Amino acid sequence: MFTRGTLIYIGQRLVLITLAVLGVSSLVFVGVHRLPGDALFSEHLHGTQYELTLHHYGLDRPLWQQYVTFLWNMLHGDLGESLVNRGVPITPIVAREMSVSAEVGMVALIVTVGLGMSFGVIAALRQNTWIDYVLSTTSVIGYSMPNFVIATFLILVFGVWLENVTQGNFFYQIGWPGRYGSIGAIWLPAFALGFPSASIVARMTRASMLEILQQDFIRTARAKGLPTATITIRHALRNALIPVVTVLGPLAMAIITGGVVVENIFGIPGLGKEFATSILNRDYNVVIGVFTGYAALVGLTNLGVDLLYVVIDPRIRY
Amino acid sequence: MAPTSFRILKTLAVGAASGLVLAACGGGNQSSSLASDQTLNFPILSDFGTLDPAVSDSETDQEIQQNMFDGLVKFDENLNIVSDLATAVPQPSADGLTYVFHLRQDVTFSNGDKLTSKDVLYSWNRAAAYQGSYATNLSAIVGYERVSGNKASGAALEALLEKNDPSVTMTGLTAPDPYTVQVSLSAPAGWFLTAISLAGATGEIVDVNAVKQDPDNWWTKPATAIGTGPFKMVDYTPKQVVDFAAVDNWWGSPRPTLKKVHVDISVNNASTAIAKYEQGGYDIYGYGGYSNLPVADILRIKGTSNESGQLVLHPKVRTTWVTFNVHSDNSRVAKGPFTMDQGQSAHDLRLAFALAVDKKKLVDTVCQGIVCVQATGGLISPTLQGYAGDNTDPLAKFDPAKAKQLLQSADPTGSKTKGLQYAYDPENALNKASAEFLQSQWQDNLGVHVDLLPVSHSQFIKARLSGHYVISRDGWQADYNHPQDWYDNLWGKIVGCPDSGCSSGYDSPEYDQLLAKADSEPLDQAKSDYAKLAQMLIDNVLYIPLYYSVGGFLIKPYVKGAGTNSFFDHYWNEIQILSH
Amino acid sequence: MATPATIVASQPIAPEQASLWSDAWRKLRRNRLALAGAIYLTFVVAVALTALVYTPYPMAKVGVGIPYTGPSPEHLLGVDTIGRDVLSRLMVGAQVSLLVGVGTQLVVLAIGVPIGLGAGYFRGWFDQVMTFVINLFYGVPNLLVALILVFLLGPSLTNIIVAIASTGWMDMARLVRGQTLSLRERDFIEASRASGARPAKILFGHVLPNALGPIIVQATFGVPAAILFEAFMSFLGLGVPPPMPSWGSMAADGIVAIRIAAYMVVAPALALSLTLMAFNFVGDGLRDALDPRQRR
Repeated sequence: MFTRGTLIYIGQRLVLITLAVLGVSSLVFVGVHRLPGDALFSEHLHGTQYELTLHHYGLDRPLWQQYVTFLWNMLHGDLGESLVNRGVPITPIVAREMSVSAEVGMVALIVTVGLGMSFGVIAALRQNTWIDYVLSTTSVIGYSMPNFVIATFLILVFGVWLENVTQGNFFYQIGWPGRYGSIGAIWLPAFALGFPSASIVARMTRASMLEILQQDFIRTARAKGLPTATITIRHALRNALIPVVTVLGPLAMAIITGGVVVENIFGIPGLGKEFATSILNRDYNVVIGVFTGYAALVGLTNLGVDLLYVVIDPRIRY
Repeated sequence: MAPTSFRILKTLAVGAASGLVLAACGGGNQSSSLASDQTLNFPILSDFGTLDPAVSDSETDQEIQQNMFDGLVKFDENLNIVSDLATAVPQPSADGLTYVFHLRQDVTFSNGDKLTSKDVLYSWNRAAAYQGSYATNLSAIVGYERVSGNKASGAALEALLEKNDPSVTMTGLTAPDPYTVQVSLSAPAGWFLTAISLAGATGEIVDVNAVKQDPDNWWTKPATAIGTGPFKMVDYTPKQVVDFAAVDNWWGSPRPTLKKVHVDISVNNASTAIAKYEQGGYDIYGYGGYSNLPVADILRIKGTSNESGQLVLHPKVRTTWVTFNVHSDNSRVAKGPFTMDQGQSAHDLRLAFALAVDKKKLVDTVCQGIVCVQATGGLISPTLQGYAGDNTDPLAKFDPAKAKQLLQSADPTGSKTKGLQYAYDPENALNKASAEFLQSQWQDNLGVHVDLLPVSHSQFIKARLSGHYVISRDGWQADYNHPQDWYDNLWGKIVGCPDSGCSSGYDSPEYDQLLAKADSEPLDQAKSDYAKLAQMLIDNVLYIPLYYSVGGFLIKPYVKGAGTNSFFDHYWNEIQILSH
Repeated sequence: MATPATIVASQPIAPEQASLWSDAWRKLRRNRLALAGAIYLTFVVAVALTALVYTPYPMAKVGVGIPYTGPSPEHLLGVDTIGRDVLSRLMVGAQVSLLVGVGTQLVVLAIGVPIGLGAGYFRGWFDQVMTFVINLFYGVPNLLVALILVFLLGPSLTNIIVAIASTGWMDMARLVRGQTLSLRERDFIEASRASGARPAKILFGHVLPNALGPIIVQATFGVPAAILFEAFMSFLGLGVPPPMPSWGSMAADGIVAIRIAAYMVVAPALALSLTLMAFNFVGDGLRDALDPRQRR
């Protein structure tokens, strides 16, 4: 499956990803350094402390010098030190947060594909019945609603209105236990994150299932007497999967983007939350680090999706 | 016969048994009701900036540091100065210039190093050399001037300190023997002891052996984050969690009952953290400098019967007001119609703006009267020395008729008040709400339209202190209980007025002279002088007083000893967890 | 006598080749969801226009009601955290959403269409460069790029429109490029070129009108995407600056109070969702209507 050609392709893509990451970081670096104001200033500051701190971070050197140091450190994997939290190196934080965001994103993707395809298949099989109408309408609502509205709505329902039933256990799930999230902490944000995308997948799956179910080879299989389940799963589904896979890339991007907001609502310590916090705190070094993390995440996700094509469709070779 | 003696035996047995039980429960009556897991759990909403006492300047940093480090003297719960590392609070010499501290001989750092006077000299010289926000706490010491010009930091500074280089050594600081520290001041300073009592600031003592292992980041790792306090850092994952453990056989008292303190840094949102507290995820909320509870949550909790008892509201020593730019020269960007060189009409204009604001309504609308209260006793907050008393500040009045009259006479054509902008930092929700309220008040009661200029916090502070704004939000949180903290840092030459480090630009020879006099006197003599300074501010209408902040804490009923005075949380070594 | 032949003969002949547009219009009219969406959107526009001259209370005035009070006859949608009337702010928020949504798409059209046309028609180095730039922009999540742009430029309505448009023009450009690529091979374009027409005339006179369908559909879907984008940004605190209310920032402000005053979030969230849904329905309807494959 992973032929020599594919491996070379992966190698090329990794190089491109690295270049993109460097490029993005550089752009952000130049951008934020032209901004006025910074995290280092405070109400109580007197004397030379400000200058000493600037010197510690190397911010008093000419911009091109700072940039060269920055690039050099980046190539060694060192994203620098936080401006707000002195002494804290950024790379381990970004790495950890990347894994958290990836974790939530993956579960969201599973929700997207799993839930979406199930809805789509059921709606197609029960076309024009009330099940179909309910599922289809839910889908439209799903991808029209912003994910933070869905998240707020879920919080409202489970946390506020059903507080007596859930015994408030619900709120405990906000926040993150330890390094890896537990099912209890993940299911809700992943659902809020994945539901809009799941709705899109549902519609696509339904449409393509309908198309396939009318095709001759299905009719032949039915005529042969194969049970509907076998037909559905073995023949129809595999083919219906293909258009879904083609949009998997943009869907993954939508999930990464949506993650920024969802992480902030649920207090998940991922890149999205770090981004919002560091921008508001003017912690520019962290902003650069977060962008770098995102560029890497996006690049790797797209690569992952492309490789998925290889797995799913054996005709594709790179 | 057998039955009688049996009964006697039984009675004796029961008696003995109950006696044993009573002894177990009643004897050490505290120890049996203590929980077996003495771990305190609470959140802070963002990671600390630094834990290095020489440079820290935020409330969060200090609330944590006060449990890791000690100074020669400290504040007790009632804000009196008591001895900490020193054996007693020294009286100054007759001329007010010399203090002699005798150190306790049983103090050890958490890594076992013994504390001696050279550690005190090292810490203070280092703090002065670093020129952090609170380095001026040491500014009365002879030789501070020179050290304050130091430019070295990190490993370079450590090298200089190691060889007692004159550029980083205050000559007024000497150690005649390993347990005595003698401090010589360049001029009498009634505020000196207060300043070095400040927790988590430059008066605190660090271990040179620990610091020199990693001069820049020694406080980020348990192995080098060493202090003399009852708790030491045992684990730190930045932006996630920090754990502290009680130091075995700590030299001070009370010995800590808590074994561990677990501080969660991963939740950044107050409402979320409060929700987690309510579900038992935390034992306290509000510690670590996060006592500004969202109003919505306070309202909700007050309405819940079993929780409202856990809510503790306590005034904080923080005041918020509106500042005018009163000085105009080439280095100050802001000019405006309020500058003092425009004489009486500018004075009347300032007064008009002050009287036109219904401050009571502002407090009711913006804080629900809960998280802040109207400032009616001057700028220094209640419970502090220098608070003038309730309802004594004429600038706190609301008099729209007089305001309009003053405006008419000062600016009949309306040309002076055209294009005004009120600058504020929107990060704090109260600032934003107040700004919008002020805007509508000036519009409704004066007919003057003032635009709002939100500027992000650190930029805002920098710009305001360098005189960029004609009218802006201003505020101060007291560092210690002495009026000097306010008058030295907000107006006058000492802080840098009129041109830098000064929001209003106010400076005058009378102010500077009186301030110098007051600063050198012991507090009871100085009070009347500080009151005269307050009157100067009022006569010149330098501010519009808005509100004093009120902090909120949520404390579970099984947590004993937690709470706050106006300045800082109760120390961790006073807290006990009861069984629950 | 009703023979099969006569029956066939008496059927009306299939209607003449109607134009794409009238065909589309007819199909659209029959699409109930799209119609409902269009009606709702007209309502939103009406509200937004009304808000220019009248709102129950001044939308920025603090303290017109007791904070945290729910819906009542004086305040139909309640009062927010600092005493402002929610209904008034909702009405003005409609203006913001519409301005951002439509404004962004206009900018996207202005940038994306010419670039797409040029890249698709002229090919060569221009195409290479544009494709490269477009792929570069895909490297980072567009929300982050927009946020950082707003952060750099400062929050204001124009800057937000610029920021969102600058992350959305690529899709339009790609679409137009694709359309141009396929259209340029068609006979009537050949003919036009052969007759000596200048490229501008060909592009704007022939290619563009034929690509208009998909372009309109794309733009119609782009509006809710832009509104959603702005809501995201406001939610994170980098949207339209106060006191302008945006549905996103109203929702963000309201979430803090969700346990005692849910209406503060529900009102803007509902307004947002319904508007987005309406746009999506209309977009769906347009796409089905303009799809030449789905004949009657």
